[in-house]
Amino acid sequence: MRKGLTHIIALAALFVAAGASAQPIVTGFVEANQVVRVQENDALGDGAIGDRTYPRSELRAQMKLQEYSDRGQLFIRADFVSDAVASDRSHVDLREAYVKTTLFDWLDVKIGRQVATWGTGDLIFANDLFAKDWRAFFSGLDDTYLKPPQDLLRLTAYVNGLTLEVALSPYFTPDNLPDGTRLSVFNPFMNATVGAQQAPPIFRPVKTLRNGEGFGRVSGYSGSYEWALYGYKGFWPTPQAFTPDGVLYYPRLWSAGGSLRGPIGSYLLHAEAAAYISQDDTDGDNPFIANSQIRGFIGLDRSLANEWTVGVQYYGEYMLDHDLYLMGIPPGGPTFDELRSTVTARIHKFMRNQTVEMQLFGYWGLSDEDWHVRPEASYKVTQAIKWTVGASLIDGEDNHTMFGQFRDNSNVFTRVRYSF
Amino acid sequence: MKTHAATALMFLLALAFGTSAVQADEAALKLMQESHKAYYYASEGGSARVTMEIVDKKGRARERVFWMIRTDVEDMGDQRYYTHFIKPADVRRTALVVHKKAEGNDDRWLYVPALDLVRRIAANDSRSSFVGSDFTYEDVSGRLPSMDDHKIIGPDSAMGKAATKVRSTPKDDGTAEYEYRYTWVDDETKLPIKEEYVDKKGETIRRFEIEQIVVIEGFPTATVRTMHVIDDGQTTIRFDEVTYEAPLDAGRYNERLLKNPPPEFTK
Repeated sequence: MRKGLTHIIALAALFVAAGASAQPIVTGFVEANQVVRVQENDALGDGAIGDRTYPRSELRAQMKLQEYSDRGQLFIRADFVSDAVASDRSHVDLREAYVKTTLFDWLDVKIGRQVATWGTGDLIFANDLFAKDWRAFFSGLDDTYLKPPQDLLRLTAYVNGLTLEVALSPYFTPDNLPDGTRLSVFNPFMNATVGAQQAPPIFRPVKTLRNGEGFGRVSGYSGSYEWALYGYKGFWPTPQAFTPDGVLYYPRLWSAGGSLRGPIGSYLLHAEAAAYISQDDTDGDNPFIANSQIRGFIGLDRSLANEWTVGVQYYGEYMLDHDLYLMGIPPGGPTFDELRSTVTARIHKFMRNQTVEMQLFGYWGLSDEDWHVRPEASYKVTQAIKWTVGASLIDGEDNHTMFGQFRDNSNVFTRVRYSF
Repeated sequence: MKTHAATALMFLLALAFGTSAVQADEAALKLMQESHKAYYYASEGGSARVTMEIVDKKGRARERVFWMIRTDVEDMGDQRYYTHFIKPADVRRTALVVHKKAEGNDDRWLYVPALDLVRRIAANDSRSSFVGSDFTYEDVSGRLPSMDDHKIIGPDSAMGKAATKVRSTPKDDGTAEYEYRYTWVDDETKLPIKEEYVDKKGETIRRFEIEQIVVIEGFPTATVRTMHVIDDGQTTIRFDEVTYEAPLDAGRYNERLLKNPPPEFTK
């Protein structure tokens, strides 16, 4: 019911916006997207929700409507999706609907549904605690779908060369995690990879102001370098706690950190660090709630001749009070290392006046012994038509690690998009 | 005695020729600097709606439309560029800010609207293609005349105009993909109305031509320009709605501009 209401409001807004302006700019695309598993996933299908062969088989139309004026801008972006393997075959996904205006010379306001990103990582995050859509990321959608929309009030002030930003949400938006429908998931209580019917229940915080989220950033330039300090108050973006009777939930989190980005010789350096303070278990002695962590990464990028670009990153996650954590693990249960390291690499190449694009992005979990590789090639058949083929390959030694838990979900995909 | 006289004569001759060679080089450098200023540093900045037609080897054409804004931090020195894409549809709202450095690598930022992400782009290769066209970043924002040795070949004509032909050789051949290039500097406007890039084998690999010059607000402006890649495609750039009045403040070329295009640059 609530969802239906949202869609009606969205469509009404579209029409109002279209009528209110003499010349709104309307653009968008229509896309066919077929995703096929590399091997059948037995945890799915056969009466279970989901499909053991196809994680996604959809037709998607996106409409973007924008209106600029001296007072600000209005922007609406909605996806109309028909997916043969989803439980709700057709639905409207209102991805953005916001108004942005400059209140004073030094203050911008952006309010409504929007996508937000900050930080310096390439598909890794420390200070960016805006929601992520891992379900989309692992099931053949374009990389940009990694960021789901959030309802935010965002204020940006520009004072003395510094940029101060605050983003507030009246409720918490968790990461969109695989839930056993398109992709099978790990159930820690069963120690098995399962489909939706056996997926562990997850409690979301009730939608009250007390359970809202707040994001903050102060940033500036120093020569060719950019620096930023970040803060967050809300919840762990994934359910990092469970009740004694086996229900997962999102414990409270606050975070603070910083980032730096700039050139070093012919390289572009980025580095970031953040403290994740597990507010409900600051001492690390509660075995049911995740301990506090320090997360950080450092990376280098470089462009080479002939339109090649390469990049590498090291990402580390250091758990505080690891000894207390180990004491809370039942004998023989899966454990995580005190320092979990992951390395990523990107190779990118443009050809033929950038009509052909090829890239490879990979994660290697050094501590967790798991990996995820994303090869992709696209070709602009005409100015409007882009054909993309790629794969999302994933595997790991254990079924409880970041990538290992999705190891039965490798897939290949092909997308054809007509943009207008 | 005789040998001394000969040595002295040779010394004097060498001095005279050497000096005139140096003077000739200086004149060539001065001309190229004038040309560089006329082409890249007209007024203190400006804006234009740019239409780019990229034609590949098989004659298939693609079009890109974007607004381009420039502000000079210092005459013949650092510059700021802002590009806001209008076409094709899939890159609409994408924007690029370049802090061009007279010395050292540029700083470049790309705004990806679908993620609300400001990405920094590695800018160590100024010879990479500018948005998929046959122009490189260096072609768009300029190559410092001091990076090359210049020599005036003599008076000539190009594109139907009287011009001075100059040969420029990169001082460090690692900074260019060509061996040398010829520039025909228009005697009237000082614009580089034609350029030919020549490789080691003496073959022309790229040819640049200014097809139309319009005097706008007192500044001769190359409003139609083409880069031909020999035996491959070509890109033609057309500048419309050019103005040199009231360029943006140099301090505004930042994340705020990337995310908030001035409304006049969105149509």
